[in-house]
Amino acid sequence: MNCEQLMSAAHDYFLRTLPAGPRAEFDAHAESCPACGEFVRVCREITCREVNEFLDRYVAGDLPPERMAVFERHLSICSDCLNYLESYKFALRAAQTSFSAQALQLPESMPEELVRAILAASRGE
Amino acid sequence: MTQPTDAVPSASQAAKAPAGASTAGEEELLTQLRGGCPAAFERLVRAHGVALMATTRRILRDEHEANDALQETFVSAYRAMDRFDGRCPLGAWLQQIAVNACLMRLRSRRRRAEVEVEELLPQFTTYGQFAEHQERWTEAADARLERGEMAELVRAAIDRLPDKFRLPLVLRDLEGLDYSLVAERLGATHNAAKIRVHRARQALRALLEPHMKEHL
Ligand SMILES: [Zn+2]
Ligand SMILES: [Zn+2]
Repeated sequence: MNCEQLMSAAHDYFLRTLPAGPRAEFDAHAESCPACGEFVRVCREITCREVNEFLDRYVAGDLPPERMAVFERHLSICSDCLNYLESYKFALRAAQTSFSAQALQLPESMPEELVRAILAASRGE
Repeated sequence: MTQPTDAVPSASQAAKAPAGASTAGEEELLTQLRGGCPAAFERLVRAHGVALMATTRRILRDEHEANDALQETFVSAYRAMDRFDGRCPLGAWLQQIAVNACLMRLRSRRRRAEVEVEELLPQFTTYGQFAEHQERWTEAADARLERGEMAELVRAAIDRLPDKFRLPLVLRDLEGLDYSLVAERLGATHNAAKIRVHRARQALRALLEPHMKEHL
């Protein structure tokens, strides 16, 4: 097995759906090739599910430095998590943009009748 | 579902709300307010009204009801002025009163058509990988967002979230309250508030997804 073949077999490998033969070849290559060895190590370090569960804390930078590094290593090799992260940040940005004072078309200053109603109500009228 | 606490929070409860620091002008206004000066109260209404209108509209999503809640906010503040101890900016204190006024109203509101948040969360395999490949969203989406073309769609998507998730998102991500204040206002634990904000963002993300692959 070469590097390219290992990459294409990785999905089945981690899903445990790779047959025994290719699985052994996969392990043998990862053992002997530093780049693929690092790839496999990073893949095993944290799952997509864990990354997803703590994505809010990752986005807020609210994780210990060594944990942030683990997330970054995973994101550097996992396009699923990277794409999810980008879309998660987009959703957050979209919420904020869509509810800004400008987007809500709020008046520049308080409408007079509303000011008068508030003043009257506070005097108990 | 949500249990708003007292209508008027103490200033220390609101202390961490990021609504700007207390200024010299505010000190003076406060002195006049405590002296019962009607002109000072009017200045308060004019100075903070629009920002609080944003708060009530974000939570209630109905202009008329939002204005009623805004009026209630100022009436509560007027009556509680001598309980304001100045340990946080007036704006932050008023924001907390406005949030409570809105939450009271939501308690008696009829439920709207809502999505099931659980169904909008990503699925994973037994080995913790994404069950479905996550595609990259179109870059055109950012431009559409910037141009304000998606605002209506995004607001409608947020409106579909159950209040259990919508409110934490509104208070944290739109109103800028920190998690402990969100938790306190909603009668949830700090951890539950945090998880609900995350789930709400995930659900919103899923609701927006179908629109992110069009217009390529
Ligand atoms: Zn290799
Ligand atoms: Zn991943």
